[in-house]
Order: sequence, then C-alpha cells, then structure tokens
Amino acid sequence: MAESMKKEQPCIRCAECVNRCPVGINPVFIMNTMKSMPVDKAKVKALDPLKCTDCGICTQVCPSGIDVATIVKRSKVIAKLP
Amino acid sequence: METVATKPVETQVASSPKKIRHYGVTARYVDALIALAPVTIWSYLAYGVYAIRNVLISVVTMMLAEFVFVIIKNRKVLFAKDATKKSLKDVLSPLDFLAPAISGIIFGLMVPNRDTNPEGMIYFYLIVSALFGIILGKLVFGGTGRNIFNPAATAFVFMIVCFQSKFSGAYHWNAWGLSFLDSSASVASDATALTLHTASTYTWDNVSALFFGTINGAAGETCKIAILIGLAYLLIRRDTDWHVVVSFLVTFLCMSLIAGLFMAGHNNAVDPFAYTFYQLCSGGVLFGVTYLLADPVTLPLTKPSRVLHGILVAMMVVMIRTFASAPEGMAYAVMMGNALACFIDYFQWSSPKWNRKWILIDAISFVVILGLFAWCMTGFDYSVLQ
Repeated sequence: MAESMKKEQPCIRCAECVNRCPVGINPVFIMNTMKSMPVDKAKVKALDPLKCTDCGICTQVCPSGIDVATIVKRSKVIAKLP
Repeated sequence: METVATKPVETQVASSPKKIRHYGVTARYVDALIALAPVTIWSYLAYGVYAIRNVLISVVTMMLAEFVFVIIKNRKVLFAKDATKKSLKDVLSPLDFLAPAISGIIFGLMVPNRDTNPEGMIYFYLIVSALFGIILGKLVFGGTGRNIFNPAATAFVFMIVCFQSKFSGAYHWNAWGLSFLDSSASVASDATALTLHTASTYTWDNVSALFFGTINGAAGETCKIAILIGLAYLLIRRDTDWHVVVSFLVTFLCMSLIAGLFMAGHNNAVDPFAYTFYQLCSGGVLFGVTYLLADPVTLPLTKPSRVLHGILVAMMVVMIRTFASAPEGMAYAVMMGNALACFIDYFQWSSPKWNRKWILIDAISFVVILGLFAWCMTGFDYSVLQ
C-alpha cells in the first residue's frame, strides 16, 4: 500500500518495461495513448493490449514508480469496445 | 526398493516477478551528475575560472527557468484559497533541480572557451542561449520527460547560429599547454582542430594530443579520457542504452575510414587510420555521444529503432563535417536525430523485439548509407588537403 501511494515521477522513456515485457507489447505507447484526451480507440486497438497477461513486470521495473500495469489493464476495456 | 539419496538444495524464496533495478529515476539523474564530474573537474583544472563561470551561469539560469515553470504549472494548487492548497515543498521534486542542472552543466561545457568582443557580453550570450534551450527545447513540451529536443543541444545550436561571430578572440589559456596549435599565429586566429584540413594535420601525434586534451577548444570536449570515464560509468550503471552508442560509433568509424581511404587515394601523405581517429577525437563527437545522444528521454523507445537512430545521427555528423561549411556537426545532428526519433518509432512499424524486418531495415540502411557516402566522396574537393 505504501509503495502504491508513492509519488509518481515523470516517465523518462528508459524502455525498461518495453525490453522486459514477456509478450512483446509496448507499455509506454499504451500509457501515452491512454493519457491523451480524448483516447484514440483505433490506436489503442492497434497497440494490442489484449495480449497482456497481467504479469506486472512493467510496474516492477519502472524507475519512475508509475503503475504501468494498471494503465494497460484499463486500456484492455477500451480495446474490447466495438 | 532402491532409495535415492536426496541432497538439500540451497534456494532462496522471493516474490515474483523479480525486481531488477533497485534505484529510481532520481538516482539515474544523480548518476548523470557523477558521470559529468570528471569532465567538469578537468575543465576547471585546465581552464580555471573561465570554465566554471560558463557552467555556473547556465546552471543558475536553467534552474531558475525550471523553477518558474513549476510554479506556473502548479499555480492552481499553490494559490488556492480552500483545502486543496499545497505548499511549494509538496509540489517540487528533486528532478526539478537535477534535470536543469545537468542540462546547464552540459551546455556550459560546450561553450567555446574564447574571449568575446566585448568580454562582458558573454554573460548575455550565455543567459539568452540557456533560456532559449530550456524553454523552447524542454519546457514548452511539458517539462522533464516530455521534451523531444535535448535542451543543451538546443541552447548550443542557438548560440552557434546567433553568436558565432562574437566568439572571435583568443582562447583562454589551457593550463596543460598547447601542442600543434601552439604558434602565436594560430592562437589568435580562428584555427581549431577541425578547421585545419591539410594532409599534414592527420598524424598520430596530433591524435594523441587530441586524446589527452593538450589543445584548446570547448572546455569539456578536449580531454577524451574524462569523457570516456563518464561514458563507462553510465554504461556500467545501465543508465544509458549501449545500442545507440555502439551503432553510432561503428557507423562513424566506418564512414570516417571510407573518407580517409578516399583522401589517401588522392594524397599519399594522408594515413586513413590516423584520419579516422583524428575525426573521432576532434570536436565534440565523444562528448555528444555520452551526454547528448545517449539521453534516454529524446531517444526512440525500442532497441531496433535505437540502432537505426544511432546510424542516422552518425551519417549526419560525418556529412556535416565533411561537406558542410560548419566545422562541427554533433549538436546539429543530435537535434535532427531528435526530430526524427518519433518518426522512426511510430507505433505502426516499431517493434519492441528484434525480428527479421528490423534486422533487414538496420542492415540495409547501414550499407546504403556507407555506399551513398562513398559516392559523395567522389565529388569531394581534394585540393583542400594540399
């Protein structure tokens, strides 16, 4: 709990999450697409977040303390929309 | 029934997934400061207060600009009248001081270490260039982590474009002495290691002088040993990606060797290998690779894209150095590479893992760039070597 309440630092694009993702998706692109308003549904679908297995490695390795896995999980809802 | 002797296995229980990095983004920026320490110390030893003056002015300017930006960005919570009001201490993070300090040190070390005309105006040039770099290179994009251009490279390019003619005086005294620029004629003139284009310049003696920093130039760019210590530290701590460094250096060395071979073909006095290492050690190539190009914020995200990025930036550096009127092209090339990074890394075609498509793209662009450069070298004006 204490770790999740930690203040998030900005993403410095170090690509630790991209290199360590076991299914080969790009969590940074998904995160940036989800943070932009309005969310581009076609782009989220093209980034294929449904491949994600919720392993949570991206959150673990992030030096900025960003909860990437939760953002990818949210993007799955948008990717499932018709 | 046969019994199997079981041997106790030493295991360690830990929760999965395994955490790989145990330090955060603030520690990465502190690492960058540590990597800059050898260069800063050397420039103080060689150039004394002149180098430290440039560094201090640009650091203070960039930090003040970032501080004002943080206040403007958080104005709604800072000046709120109700319970949502936050103090300045809650809003500021260590990155708001570390990031502009690093940019300021890098920019201050790249400034040509010469007298200006008039002398006092150098404060004006430094402050205006640092403000331009930090505001238009970084803050307009939203601050740390969102910039597409490197602030130090932006500030340096602005200064070179606007105030190049103002830096016309003699170099400040290099405490370690001068070697091949040590004649009274060339000290007072504009001669730097990159504008001397005669065949007799490309010797191993001059390469070693460039390597050990016994020449004049920009304060931080002269001593290659200090820069290599910083690069090794960044690579060992994995603060920067080795893909872009290796692909840049390999492409740069191959293209310089091609240029050296062409020059040796037209003028027997040129040693192609000495020419290659002269190009590597002169100017800001190693400094730019370590502190400008390897900044992860402005790089593409994926490994194959980073390799392609290094190849393209190396091509632009060698092209500018060989054919353009500007003697040095590292900062220009880094900025053009930054602008290309989002195109290389577009989500429709970028791939996080190596696949056949990206191996082909990287290999073909490497070969095509070398071929194109060799073709361009047939039109080079070889009379400058005389």
